[in-house]
Amino acid sequence: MIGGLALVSRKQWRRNKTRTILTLGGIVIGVAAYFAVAAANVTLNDSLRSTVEQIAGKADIQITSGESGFPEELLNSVRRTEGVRVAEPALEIVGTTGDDARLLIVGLDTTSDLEIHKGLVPDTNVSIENPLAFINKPDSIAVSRTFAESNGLSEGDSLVLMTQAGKKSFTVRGFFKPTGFGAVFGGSVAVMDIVSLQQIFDRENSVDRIDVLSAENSDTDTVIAALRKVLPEGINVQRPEQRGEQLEKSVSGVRVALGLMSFLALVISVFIIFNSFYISVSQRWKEIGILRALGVESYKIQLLILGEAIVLGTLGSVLGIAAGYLLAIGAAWIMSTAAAVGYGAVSSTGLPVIEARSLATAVLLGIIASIIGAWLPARTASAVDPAIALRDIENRTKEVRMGWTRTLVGIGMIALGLVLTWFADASVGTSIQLSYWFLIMLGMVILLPGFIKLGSMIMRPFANRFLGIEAVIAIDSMARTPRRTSATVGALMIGLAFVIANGAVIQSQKSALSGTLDRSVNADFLVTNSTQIRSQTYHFTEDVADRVGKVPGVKRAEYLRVTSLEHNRENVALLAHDMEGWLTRSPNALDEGDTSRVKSKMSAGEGFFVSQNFAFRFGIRLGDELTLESPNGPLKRKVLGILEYYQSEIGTVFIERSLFKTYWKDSGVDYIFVTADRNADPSSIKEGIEKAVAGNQQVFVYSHAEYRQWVLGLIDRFFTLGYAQMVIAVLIGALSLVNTMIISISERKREISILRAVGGFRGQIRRMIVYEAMAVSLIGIATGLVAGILSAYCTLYISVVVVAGYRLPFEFPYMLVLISFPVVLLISALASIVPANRAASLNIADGIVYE
Amino acid sequence: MNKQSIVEFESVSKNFEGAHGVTAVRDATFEIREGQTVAIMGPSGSGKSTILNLAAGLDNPTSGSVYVQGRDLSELSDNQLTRLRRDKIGLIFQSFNLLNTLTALENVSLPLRLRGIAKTEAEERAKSLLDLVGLNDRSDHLPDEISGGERQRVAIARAMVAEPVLLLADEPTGNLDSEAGEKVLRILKDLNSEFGTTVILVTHDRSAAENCNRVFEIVDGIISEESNDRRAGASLTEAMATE
Repeated sequence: MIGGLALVSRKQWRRNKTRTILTLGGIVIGVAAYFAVAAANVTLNDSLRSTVEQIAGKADIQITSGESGFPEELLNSVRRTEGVRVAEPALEIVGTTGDDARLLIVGLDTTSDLEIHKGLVPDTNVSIENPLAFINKPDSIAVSRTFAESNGLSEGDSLVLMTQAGKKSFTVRGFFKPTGFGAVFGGSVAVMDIVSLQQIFDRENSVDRIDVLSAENSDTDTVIAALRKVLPEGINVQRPEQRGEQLEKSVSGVRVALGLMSFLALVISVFIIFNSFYISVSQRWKEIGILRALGVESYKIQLLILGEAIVLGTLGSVLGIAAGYLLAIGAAWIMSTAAAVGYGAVSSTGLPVIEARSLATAVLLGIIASIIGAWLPARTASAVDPAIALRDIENRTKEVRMGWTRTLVGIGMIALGLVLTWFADASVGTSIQLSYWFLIMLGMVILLPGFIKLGSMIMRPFANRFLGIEAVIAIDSMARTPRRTSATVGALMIGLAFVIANGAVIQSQKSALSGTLDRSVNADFLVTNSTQIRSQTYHFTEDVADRVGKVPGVKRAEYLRVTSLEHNRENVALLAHDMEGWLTRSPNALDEGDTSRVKSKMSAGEGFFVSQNFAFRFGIRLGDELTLESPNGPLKRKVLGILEYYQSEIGTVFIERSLFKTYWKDSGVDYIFVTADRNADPSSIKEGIEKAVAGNQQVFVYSHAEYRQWVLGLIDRFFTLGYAQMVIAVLIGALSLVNTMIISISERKREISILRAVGGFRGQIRRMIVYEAMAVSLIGIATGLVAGILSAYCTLYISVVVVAGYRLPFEFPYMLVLISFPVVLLISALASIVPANRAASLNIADGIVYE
Repeated sequence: MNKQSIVEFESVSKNFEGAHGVTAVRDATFEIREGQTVAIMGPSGSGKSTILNLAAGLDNPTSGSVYVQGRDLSELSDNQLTRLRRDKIGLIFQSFNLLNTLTALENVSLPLRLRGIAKTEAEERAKSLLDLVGLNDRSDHLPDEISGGERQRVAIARAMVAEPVLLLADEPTGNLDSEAGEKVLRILKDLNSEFGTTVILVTHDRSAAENCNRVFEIVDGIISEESNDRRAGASLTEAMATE
């Protein structure tokens, strides 16, 4: 019997090629999106890990301490520790060429044997014509062949880089092949002698890393434990792969966003599959009736439909993987770009890496999505009464009725999802939190037939009065099959909900940040030397910064150093501020604590401020003692103020700059806040600052308004991915609409032919299909609006409040909605053109006899 | 007065292509004039419905020409053909072919609304047609809510609402019981006598054909007109068989 049923399926697919192709298309979209993101994730992780591993060389232990580095003298303690065979220092600096291209310069002790780091670039791959000159001349630099070729550099050429010590000229005296270490960051790497690098970058006696190779007979974990004992708190001792994991964490936001996108694509593909199978069952009502009459049991009918789903699911998954591979190239690029914008971590991305696990998961998900999509249609098919099916082909499908039970279940699921969100705990993890949102969306999907009925009741009189009978028929057709319409409306709804939620998150973050900028970052001018918001690769030296304070018209210049530190194994932001100046300028900076009362204490270095999310995450309250681990020992102070600040998703600590300089031995300056004299001319101050710093370092002087715009612009850049996701979500929704309309036309051949037979022009048929697509999308928009508001609440509350600890005010993205809704309507109208043309060109005589 | 030619078939053939190509109509030549009632009879698959589809311009002949009111259908554009169908031809099908989501009133007014006539005016006219077929009390019912006979009467009202000169009915009584079938045939006859509408009726039912002015028979795609003598004989044979 199975063979017989398989024959029926094969014939069906052959006879209904369009429907089969569209069903496959739905599966391909979902699987491709999933696989692209999974492959891009693996590729990015792989790239980040290999970067860390390549830079670490043979080291099995790495010693680091935040951005400021740590004293070189610790090298001796490390070398003396039992189990340590070799320990080599390293310094990492990023420079910029005239074309704004970045170059990672690694400073190594070239006078040593370089037992660990020699492995980075095998001797055979290095060409240094004059090794003595390379070592003796402090401006010597070895670059990768790739970098040399792209910058037209040959032996002896000078390479000018913008560095924190100003514009510096280096001489290229060595090259290495772009393999292994030479391939890191796409070959934008260079090697120098560490002492020269320390001098040039004003980092004497400071290193960023000590790479350790433990003795052959030593256990690495034992050596790590021994090193932790001898080294001060605040110094991290870990395996290189753990450092790789930290880098991975830094791009987790982008990964979660892309992960959500792929999940969304899968959900939408379930709607498409449901739609295709539902219509397939509807069209095969009589065939199923015949099979039942011939003695096929109802469970076998169900198996027939599910079997078709599995076969199509498998085929669609394989095709989806192929399409996903191409998408992965783009997704990996988006990920690394977003990571670069936000964190300065640039990674080289080659072809997507494919893991057997991703392949298997993609196929499995494609099949599961197909089974879920086909489940209800299969059940409907199995319930076909052969007598009715054979006697009356007009009443093919049982349509859903929006009874009270269904309404209550839908509302109940939405309410439950909201309650769970409200009481959400960060520790349950993203998957569980995502399930709350899913519950809400499922509730909305259950209510969709009700929304469709309501929508058609509202639209029908309007259509009847103003648009003509073709619009009435279009709306009726939509309302007559709420189950089929629900699938399309559902796909659009989810897509739009995603757009609105994304928009709300972006808008809320911008609005909150804008408030903080006005309240706390409100100097007349802000001077910085980096276009990165989080990663301060270059810093002003104090003497350069002092020149800014002397520019005529400058009343006061405050310095801010932005760095990070480990706190309770989390990486938090550390902002070292001139407290006196800041609190004078920003008397309302604090949410908890009295600025005027704590100003003198903070200026004397007797306390800390922390951000709201830091307080939330680490359970800190006003007045609590807080201990920070500095490279020079623990630093314990009272928390004298708490403020909303968005520097880090983990938390931010504010300390007096002089205290930071003492404990971190770091006098770098990242931002200079300039307060101008009342009558000073802003343009001459700006010019004066640029002149004072020019020639030494890159400098960007922003007025308050410009800085505000710059920061908000950076947020926009960071959310490029979010905007791209919105476009993709709408496009997937539109594709689902095309799918539905084409399938729906094949189902309605007869109705369309009747209209043509009684005098309907082709144009009227086209209009009818376009009206129907627009009616469906109007309901999609209305439900998407409701689902979007609910999703925005979930996303904001869970991802921002619960996970990051921020308190973001809810901002509804009015502009986005005002723009996107007409766009969705337009896309829907455009998406319906092909189906409309197909409908208009149907053969009338064939259609009338069509069953 | 010479009656005008309404439908004329001139050496019309229709082949359906496929693995086993079928010739549904072979070299058909006949003319039907204004006000006539014509029955086309024949076994299943003989090509009866194809003749109607060709006359309505729903299908194109493989060879030969079909004229409606003297206009060669093959020379008309799709829009002209649609307009002709909308203004001059009424269609009635065996399976009613009403739109299930529209009420009886909306179904009947459909051709007028497709013509761009205002809703109120179209519905006024539709009401009078529903009254004519005895269904004024069913105007707000959906097709699913009325009986088969009533559905066919709604379909007749829809076919007549645009005051066509030609009514093409494809087995209008095929899905009805004898009482409902008789009612439908009576209405068609009344329409013919009252408005002078030409009626072409495809039927299996000899008694339905009896009421027509002319009877054509089609076998294996070959159409021929029965003489009056033959019709009388056929009637008698059928009457005996019934007894």
